[in-house]
Amino acid sequence: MRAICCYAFALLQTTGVSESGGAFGGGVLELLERSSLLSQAVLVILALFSIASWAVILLKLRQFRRVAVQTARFSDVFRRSNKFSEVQTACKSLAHSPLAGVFQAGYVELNAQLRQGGQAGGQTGRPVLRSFDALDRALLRASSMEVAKLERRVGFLATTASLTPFIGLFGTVWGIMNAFAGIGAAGTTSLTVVAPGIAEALIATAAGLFAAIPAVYFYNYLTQRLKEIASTMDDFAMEFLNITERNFS
Amino acid sequence: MMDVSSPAARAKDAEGIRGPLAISAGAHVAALAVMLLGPSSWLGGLGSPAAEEPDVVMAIRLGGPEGPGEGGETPLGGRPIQQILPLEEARRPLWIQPPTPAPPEMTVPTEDARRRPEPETEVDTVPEEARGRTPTRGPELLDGSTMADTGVEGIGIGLSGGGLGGSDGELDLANFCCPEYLSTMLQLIRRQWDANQQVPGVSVVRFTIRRDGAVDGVAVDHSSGYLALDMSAQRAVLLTSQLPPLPGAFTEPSLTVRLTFEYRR
Repeated sequence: MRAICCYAFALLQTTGVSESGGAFGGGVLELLERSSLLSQAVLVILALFSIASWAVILLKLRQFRRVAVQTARFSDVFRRSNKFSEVQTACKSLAHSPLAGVFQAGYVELNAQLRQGGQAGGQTGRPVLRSFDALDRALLRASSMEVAKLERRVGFLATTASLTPFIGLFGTVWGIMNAFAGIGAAGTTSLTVVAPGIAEALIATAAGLFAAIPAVYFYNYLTQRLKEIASTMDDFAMEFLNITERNFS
Repeated sequence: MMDVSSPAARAKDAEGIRGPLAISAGAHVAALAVMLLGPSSWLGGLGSPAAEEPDVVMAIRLGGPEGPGEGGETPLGGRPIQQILPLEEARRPLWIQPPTPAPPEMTVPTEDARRRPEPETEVDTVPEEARGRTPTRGPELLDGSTMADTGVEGIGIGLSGGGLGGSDGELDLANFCCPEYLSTMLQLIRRQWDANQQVPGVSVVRFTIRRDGAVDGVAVDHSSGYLALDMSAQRAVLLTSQLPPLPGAFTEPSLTVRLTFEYRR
């Protein structure tokens, strides 16, 4: 990170030198150089928001991709196995699947109840579950925990999406205030005087939208994926309960 | 591998944020680099438009140092000239004086005298190639850029001053044939140029004149450091959207000019 920041700073420096000494490469850097300290601070804040939100986006996309792959593999193992112990063994290599987490919570609760519980009728020797509600609560708790884990840092995208346009707007308003003050001081309403100040000011709004637009899109996308995963976990919990009820009641 | 059997362990994130954060910061730096170092046409109107590298680029400095006033010796006045040498004295043979004929006697025409018929032969006109010209001797054209007082009134090139300042004039005509065209062009641009910006600075604008005289590809080639000055210079060229068509002696399809606008306080 430090190396990247140093490189960015060096890039700005070298570009600034070449700008002052040679060809006119573009107007953005020129506008940035002219903008006030507050506008530059606003741009730095927006850049940090953008970097952090993209980091969250990359993290979550990678996490959700692993979740999808390992959930498919877990479902396959769960359908094929006849014993919970086989599924439990497979779960150790499927750490990213939320279904594996739900299953493990149910399996632990099931084992605990079976160790304490008696046997049905005393003749057949078939183990009997003491409380389905407790098992349901354990599955529900595990499901909530998995959802919370997947939801972590997604809220930051919502914060970025809603906050950065306002920060950019603040920078723009401040820049336009300065521009109008400059117009008043110059005593002329020539477009030559007005336009540069407004162009500088509008950069902040552009930067705010640059940070906000991907954040909005990926927040909605990740939230939708999260709902799908939560629905899959509910389905799996009910299926787990059904299987348990068939075998241990 | 993490202990997946423990709910507390499962609640933790298996991956840290540092890796994606570094990737994101690197991507932002790359995007910044592309924005600053890449072709400015990618940014639309914020940068100068990308233009194809033209064949002929002409550099003219407007608002150069104070010249000697209107006219005078300028580099344009010192163009290659035709040197006229004095004619050698030719020895002419002396005329052979014929004897003077006797004057005719005056006679009074009689009444029955007839008028002599006029000859009907046509008078030959002077052929085109026989018309008188100033004879010249010696080498016809002398190449060079020496300053010669030819008596020709110089073409004032320059906006704020009285033309190019003698031999210090910044004028790279790139073997351009027709300085009169430049004079017309600069007069048209001068009409649109507001040189009074209260801030000193030098702004270079690059533009291309098409064969039909249309001006396009107007871009700030070197910024003065003040947006107002750059915009004023750019506006002067943009408002002069139509110039006279390029002269026929100039054979290139277009002419690219780097025009230096010099602002004084």
